[in-house]
Amino acid sequence: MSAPLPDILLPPEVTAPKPPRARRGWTQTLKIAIPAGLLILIAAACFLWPLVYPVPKPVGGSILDAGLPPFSPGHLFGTDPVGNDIFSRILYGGRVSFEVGFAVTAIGLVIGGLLGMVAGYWGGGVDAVVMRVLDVLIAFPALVLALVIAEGLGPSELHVIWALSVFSIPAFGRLARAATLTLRGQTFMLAARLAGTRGGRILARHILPNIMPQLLTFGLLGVGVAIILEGALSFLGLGIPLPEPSWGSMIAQGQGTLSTQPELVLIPSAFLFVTVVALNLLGDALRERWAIT
Amino acid sequence: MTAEASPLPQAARPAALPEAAKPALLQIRDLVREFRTRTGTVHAVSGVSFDVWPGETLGIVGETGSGKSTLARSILQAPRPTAGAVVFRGTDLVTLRGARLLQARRQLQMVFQDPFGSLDPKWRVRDLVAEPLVAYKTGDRNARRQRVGELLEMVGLAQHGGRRPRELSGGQAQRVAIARALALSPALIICDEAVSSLDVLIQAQVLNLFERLRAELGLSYLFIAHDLALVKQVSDRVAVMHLGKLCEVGPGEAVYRQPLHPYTRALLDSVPGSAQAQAQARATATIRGEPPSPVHPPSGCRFRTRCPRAAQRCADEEPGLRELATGHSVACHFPLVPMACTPDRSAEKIGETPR
Amino acid sequence: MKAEALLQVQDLRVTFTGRGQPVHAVDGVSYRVYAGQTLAIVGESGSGKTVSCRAVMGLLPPSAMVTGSARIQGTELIGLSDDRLREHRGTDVAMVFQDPARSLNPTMRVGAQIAEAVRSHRPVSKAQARQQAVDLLRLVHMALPERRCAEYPHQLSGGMRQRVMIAIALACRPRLLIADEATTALDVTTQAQIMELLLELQAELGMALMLISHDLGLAAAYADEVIVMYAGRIVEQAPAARLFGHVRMPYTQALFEAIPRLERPAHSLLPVIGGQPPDGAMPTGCSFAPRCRRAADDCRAAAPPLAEHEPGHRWACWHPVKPGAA
Repeated sequence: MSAPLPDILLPPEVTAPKPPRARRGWTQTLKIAIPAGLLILIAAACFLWPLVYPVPKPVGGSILDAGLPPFSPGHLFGTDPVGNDIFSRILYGGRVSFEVGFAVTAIGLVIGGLLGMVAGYWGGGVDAVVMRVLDVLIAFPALVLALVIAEGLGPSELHVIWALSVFSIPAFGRLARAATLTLRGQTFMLAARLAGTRGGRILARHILPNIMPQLLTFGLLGVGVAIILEGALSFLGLGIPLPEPSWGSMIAQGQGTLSTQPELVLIPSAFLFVTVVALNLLGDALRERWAIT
Repeated sequence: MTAEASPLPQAARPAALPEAAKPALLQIRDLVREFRTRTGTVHAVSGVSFDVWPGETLGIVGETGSGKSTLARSILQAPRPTAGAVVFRGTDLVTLRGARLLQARRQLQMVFQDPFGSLDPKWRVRDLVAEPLVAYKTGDRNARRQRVGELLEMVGLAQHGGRRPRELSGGQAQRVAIARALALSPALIICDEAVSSLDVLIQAQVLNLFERLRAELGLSYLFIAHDLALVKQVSDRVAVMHLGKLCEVGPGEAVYRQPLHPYTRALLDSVPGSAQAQAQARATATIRGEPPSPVHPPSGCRFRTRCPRAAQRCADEEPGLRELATGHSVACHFPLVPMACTPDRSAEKIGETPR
Repeated sequence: MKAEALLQVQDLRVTFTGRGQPVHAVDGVSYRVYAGQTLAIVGESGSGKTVSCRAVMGLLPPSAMVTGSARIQGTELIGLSDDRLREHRGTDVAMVFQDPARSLNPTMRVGAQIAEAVRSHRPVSKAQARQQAVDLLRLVHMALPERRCAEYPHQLSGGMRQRVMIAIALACRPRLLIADEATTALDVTTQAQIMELLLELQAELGMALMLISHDLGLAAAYADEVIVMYAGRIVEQAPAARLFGHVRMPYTQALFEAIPRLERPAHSLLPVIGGQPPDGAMPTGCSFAPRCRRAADDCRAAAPPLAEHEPGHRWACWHPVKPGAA
């Protein structure tokens, strides 16, 4: 071999232009779009419809209109034995479901997520203390605790949210901690520390963005669970006080007239079902989408 | 804090380097790192001492279990070694904590083996490179942006600032890591298997980049790898590590042409396609048997269980590093080529016939 | 090499249709392996060397489209059902993989795994299989084979695990052993031991050996014949002795120059090739042209065919490197 060629240290980069986002199959887009669309539709209906289009009040209906079947004029879903318009009760009840579902999840995400991240990152004594506290919360049987709170504080939407948060906080806490522990062992965490980045900044700029997808997908599934739990609580009479509507309490009430007016149970059940399934599907699809390839 | 550590009587002092008169940039003294596990204590690094001089590249070659990566992390205090001193620019890093450690360590950086693993997947290239600048609060936003531009230019990635790691190739990702390591104008960069996971052509690109940076910026490197040819090609001096201890330290050419330690000899013989191997038409495996476990290292010389020259003395007495030629030291009771030794060494140790 | 080829691969093509564009991992590869021969396939990641061997063994996921032919002693392997393939795997062709830690079942004792391999192809009793496992470990020079049989993979070192993998592969005396980066994850001293073992076994059992590696040095030292792949195609093929003195394809030359060498002085600058290999999208013309120092317009216009320009030495280049020149 003759003398080595002149050094071509970094020849003009034969660079591909920024690789196009891997064309996600359209099936995957649909998997996200359909449940998301459905959820937005239902939520929009519950919150916006009554503002835009007048509906009869959900409470205080006239006994003269009692027991109307669905598709009666002026009452799309009919009325209940007391005369309240079912459709409007569905909408207002839906508000409760969404409010409780998202509030419980948000509280869990923020408080539980933060606790979990801190416990996972700092380890040692901090970790031990935080986890024991969360363990205590988890140890309570769900419904018993809700019962106690409801009995103690009285039934109301806010108290339902507190009661359910007792479970969402440790759930997110454990998840955030586990995700943080996995991340902590990665080389880029060491690289960040060697670059001089300190604890708080590491949590905020390195750990949080990397565990967020997991937390969010878990959160979506959690909203569904919270909605069901609220439904159960209301069903048991521990949730939203009557006569305010809630999907759960509507189902409970409808039991009495199951043979004559099955739609009183079926309609709220259907809405509950569709909402929770949509949340689950969306959560799954997002997890797939965000999976580290 | 402490002044320069005591000079090493035995470790290789590169007489050829003009900077030999200056104090060493990095002085490692009796570094020990042990881990306690359920099965026992892992003696990853057991008393390693060496110097790195300004402007030189010291290569450390060792196989799996030699402790070389643990050594690298211990130097950076991530985590702190069990014992020993790490004197960088006159300050012992082992004694420092918190902000003072950060300041003292500022000019000591590391490039890791996995190019993608060392980059936060959610960050963009320019933020990754700017991170040390932000952490050490150097300059304002404009100054930082300019510096990032300079650094990316230096590594040939000027157009890639807005990309994320997953949009880069292995070689490009490693160059981002290098740019980040250069951000604070370090004096010494530790390369821990920095090119081992790159394809050979890309590896050559990155090695050339290291060379150019060394020439332009006057960097020193501590180059750690398991490939002896690679280490020798980039280093002024080479240190061979085995099971937590240094076997041999010396100028690259000397270690290659006159290996003194049987382990070094075996490593050279095992390289397929090397001149030695070709001389025998095939690489002969002169090492028999399995490497010992770092949890229960052999007594005395740790290589004795696989060494063709082992004798009783090797089990009873641990050999220390002795300088047998200028700048060339070996830790062996029966080194391979007896060399003329300096007068104050015990001459009877050389040339003692093995069993 | 006048005998009938043991393995004959003809125009093998593998395309992956994932999300986005189809990736042509292997783009028309043909070669032969003869009994008792050692063939090395060398290439960087993305060259298609591993995918082509897995295609022969039928180990690719269903999303892979495989066309072409791979005949082992006359029997066509491409397109065979899994059951039929299983008859050939182990008895005709066996494979040893890169990472023994991941290829062995961590919850099963080593002896049981080898015995399982034996029993999957031969109707022997459990006791006989266990005895054969011990014999196999002895064959691969494992010290204290009976004791090793009772141990779990995590109790063994990397080199020992690889010997276990080889023992499993040899359970039914295959005629062809494919070592897919089998020594890449091992230390260089262990690598030398394992390579020595493979060659010994080859001589003893009369096997053909295929070495898949990115390490040209390994190929030079151990192979009879070397194939160099780039971007899914064969770009050069020659007997090892000839290749390393008479490199023709600029890519091979670049590979050769880029390998770290003990003889090089410290701080040498290497003649490098910029850029990186194409990622599945095949440009027109020679796939190496964007990075090649010798590229000319005809290189970009049409891909050079792989042809035997000199006896025993094939290459695919319009402007090959002149022998003796840089």
